Formats: sequence, structure tokens, C-alpha cells
Amino acid sequence: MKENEKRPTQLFMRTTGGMGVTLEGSVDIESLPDDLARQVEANLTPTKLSRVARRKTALYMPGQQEYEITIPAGAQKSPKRYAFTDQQADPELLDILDELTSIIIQEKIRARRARQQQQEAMQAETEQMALEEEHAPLETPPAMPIFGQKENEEPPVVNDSTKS
Amino acid sequence: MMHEHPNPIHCILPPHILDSIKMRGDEKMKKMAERTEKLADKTRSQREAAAPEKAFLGTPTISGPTAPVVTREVYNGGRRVGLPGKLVRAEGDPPSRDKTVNKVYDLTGKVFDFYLGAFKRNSIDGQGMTIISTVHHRRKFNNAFWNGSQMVFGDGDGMLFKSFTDLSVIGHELSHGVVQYSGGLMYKDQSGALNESFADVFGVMTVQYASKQTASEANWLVGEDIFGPEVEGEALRSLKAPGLAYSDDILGKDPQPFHMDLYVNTSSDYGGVHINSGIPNHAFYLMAQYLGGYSWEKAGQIWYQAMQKLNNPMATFADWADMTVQTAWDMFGQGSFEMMMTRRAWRLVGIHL
Repeated sequence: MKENEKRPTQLFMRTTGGMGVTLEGSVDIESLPDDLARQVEANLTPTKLSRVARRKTALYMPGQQEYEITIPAGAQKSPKRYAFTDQQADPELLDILDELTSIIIQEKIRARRARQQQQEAMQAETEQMALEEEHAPLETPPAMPIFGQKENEEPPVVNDSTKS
Repeated sequence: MMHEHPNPIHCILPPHILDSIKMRGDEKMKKMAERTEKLADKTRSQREAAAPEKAFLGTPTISGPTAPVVTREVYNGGRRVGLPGKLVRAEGDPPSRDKTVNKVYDLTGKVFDFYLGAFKRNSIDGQGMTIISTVHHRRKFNNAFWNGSQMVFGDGDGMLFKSFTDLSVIGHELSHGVVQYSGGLMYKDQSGALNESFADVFGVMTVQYASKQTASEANWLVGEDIFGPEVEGEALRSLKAPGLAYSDDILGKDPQPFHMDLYVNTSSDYGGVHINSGIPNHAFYLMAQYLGGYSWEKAGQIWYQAMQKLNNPMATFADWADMTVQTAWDMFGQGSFEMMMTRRAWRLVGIHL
């Protein structure tokens, strides 16, 4: 890595081509296992990725994958994006990309399970509330105050002349 | 006058192999690849200058008393990038302890049988080419592909993809080789989508041929058995219902259109080769339904013969549609039911001839 290249802490990866399925996600480099993080820092640098992306490609290799790696470049600069195929990448880089792809998939599955658990918890809570409501004893509704009656005041005695 | 006699091996090596050698070989091999590339460029120019227009000849079909036999080689990639890996099972060898090796060995045999039985084609190149496959390629690799000279299968990550050794997928990948040896289609934009579509169509027909299903009995799915437990979907693609094969929050929704009105203009996926292939895929499905019976008997014959005659690596959907209608005319007669139904199928997906 060149001295003036700041180490990225995150990257965005998108895989297309292959069998026709698109997979994308971001990777927090600092949260990777140490060994993989070191490999990412050493191989996924702007210098190396731009060299890979410039490599000449062959015309015919149906089903090979295309990779897009986007590296954020700070608030004032636009992010750098590098696109290349299986054929252009070195074996070492492909190994790293396979690991990162696997991590992205695991993370997505974890996030989906968390969402599902949250939805199930909410569903269970809603059902519980409905159940409680169904079985709650009927309460006598509070007496409605009569218009003009003050708080804590006895209701006025109605003078029913028919009783006398 | 001096004549150059280029090494025939140099002339056979496709450009991507040379690129791979330059990239991954040692210094000596890199220099050899560079020299070969220069020589190949020169030879190609000479050949192009010498060849008359329409010099392309279709793949020869089988004739003569001796029946062709399949020759297969299955390699173990050892979860590494390098190809082909270690040879595990060659033709006639007893089964390996590796189930994936045996499965690929058996299924590539079924694809060979399909091309031979239905189209009298002797292997990928029509000349008995050895069918080479590598299994266990890379680690948790979610892909299978044809690299210009062999098929390559990853194991999948086990969550989204459990395997790529499904008969329709093997039929698909091997059919990319058939396209290559039938004149070829550039793997980009509409010609690339036609390449993908041809592979899908012949992939599903391989399954139908192996299980003797009629067009109406078949499910028309590609990759029915490849999704892992975490994916919501029945297959990778559907020729019957493009766009409805899967809908999953991780993989997204099947993006295939079934009509030109829904054509997707994109720069990714080599110009949407796996996306817009839904249009010619559906045209084939419709035609096979109209013609009835086994898809390979009429619809497949029209598609196969059209590919042998196309001679246009940059063909658009309209070029291909035109060629299929012309082929139906040649095979079944002008104004025949087959020709009319081929044209009708194209019209229903928005291609008017």
C-alpha cells in the first residue's frame, strides 16, 4: 500500500454475472477475523484493484462473475469503484472475495433471522394481547357525570312530584 | 517465398487461456503466451483476409456405422482457483469415493446422450471432444461456468446454494460449449442473452429428454435443485414463467422479462445476459407448447439447426427469431404449422417478423 493511501475501514461489494444472481453488501473491515482483515488491507487497495480492473479480458467465458468493489474515500471525495471479472483477478484476490461473499451472505441471513424473530415476537405479543382481551372480565363502565355536576358532588335529587 | 508454420497448439488456444497464462503462469509461460498472442493475431488477420464471406460451416452430424462414444474426465479442484485440478475419474474408471465426482460423471453422460440422440451431435464440438469437468472449485463458490474449454462447478456456500451439479445446470454449461463450437455468440447484450437462452433451452431439454417428458408435462425450470435452505424460490429460472422463479429478500426477485416491452437496459451482467434471456426462453417455451409432444422433436430441432446456420456472433433477438422462422420454413415447408407457430411464439413475446 502506498504511504498516501489511507486504509479503508469499510467496503461495498457487488457480485453479478455467474448464474445470473446479484449479491451485494458492505463489509466492515475492522470486524473481520485478523488474518482476513490483513489480507483485505493488503490486496484490496485502490492501487491493486485499479491494476486488476485494467487487465485485458477475454471475449468468451460464459457465466464468469463480475465484481464491483466500492471503497469510501472520505467526506470530501467521491467513493472509488473498481469492476473486474474472475478472469482478471489473481487467485489470491479470488480467495479473499469468496471469503467476503460468504461473510456477506452469513450477515444477511443473520439479519433476516433477527427480523423474523422480531416479527414473531411482535406477532406473539399481539396474539397474547388479543387473548387477554378476550378473557378479561367485563367491567362496569364508570358512571357518566351529569351535565353541570361538579366533581365529588352528589347527583342532584330529582323532585318527582308523582311520588308524593 | 517464406511461409510461416504457426504451432497448431498456439492457434487452438483461445484468448482467455492466454490471458490466464499471462496472469497466473511463471515468467517463461507468460512470455510464451505473449508470443502466442501476437502470432495468433497475425494468423487471424491472414485467415480473415483469405476466407470468403459465409465461409462458416455448421457442425458435422454423425454418419457411418460406428456409434460415437462419450469421453469424460472429472477433476477435483481441491477448493482452489487453478484449473483443471487433479484427475479423479476418467472414462471407464470405476466410481470414485467422491459423490460429486460420480454425479457429474453420470450427468455429463446424460447430456452427451441427449445431444447424440436428439441431434446426432458427437459431443461439444461435434467431433467427439472430451468432456472435462472440475468439481470443488474455489471455496464456498456460488457458481458454475464454461471457461471456453471445460465446465467448472463450485460447491455453493450451503445456505443460498447447496450444489450446482443439477442436470439442467450441467446441460446449460455444456450447451455454452456447443454454442462456442457452432459459430459462437458474443457474450454481451442481446447476443449474450441469446447465448444464455440457448444454454437454458438445451439445459431444460436435457432434463426432459432424460425423463422422457412431453412439453406439457415438463416444469421448464433451470436449477430446480440448486437453492439452499435459506432461499425462497423453486428454481433459478423458469422458461414457462420468466420473472417468477424466485423471490427472496437476499437474492431479490427473479428479474427476467417475458416480453420485449419489459426489456431491461443495463450495463451490469454483461448487458443483462441472464435477464433478457427470459424473452427468447419464453418464445421457445410457447413454441414447444404449440407444437406439442417432445420438445426436442420439433421445437428443439428448429432451435438447434438455426444455431448451426446462424453465423452471426453479434446476432440480435430479431436476427435469431428470423433465423428460427427461416429454419422452420426449410425444415417443414413454407406456411407449415411449425413455421407459423414459430412466428407466432416470437410475436407473443413482442418480436414481430
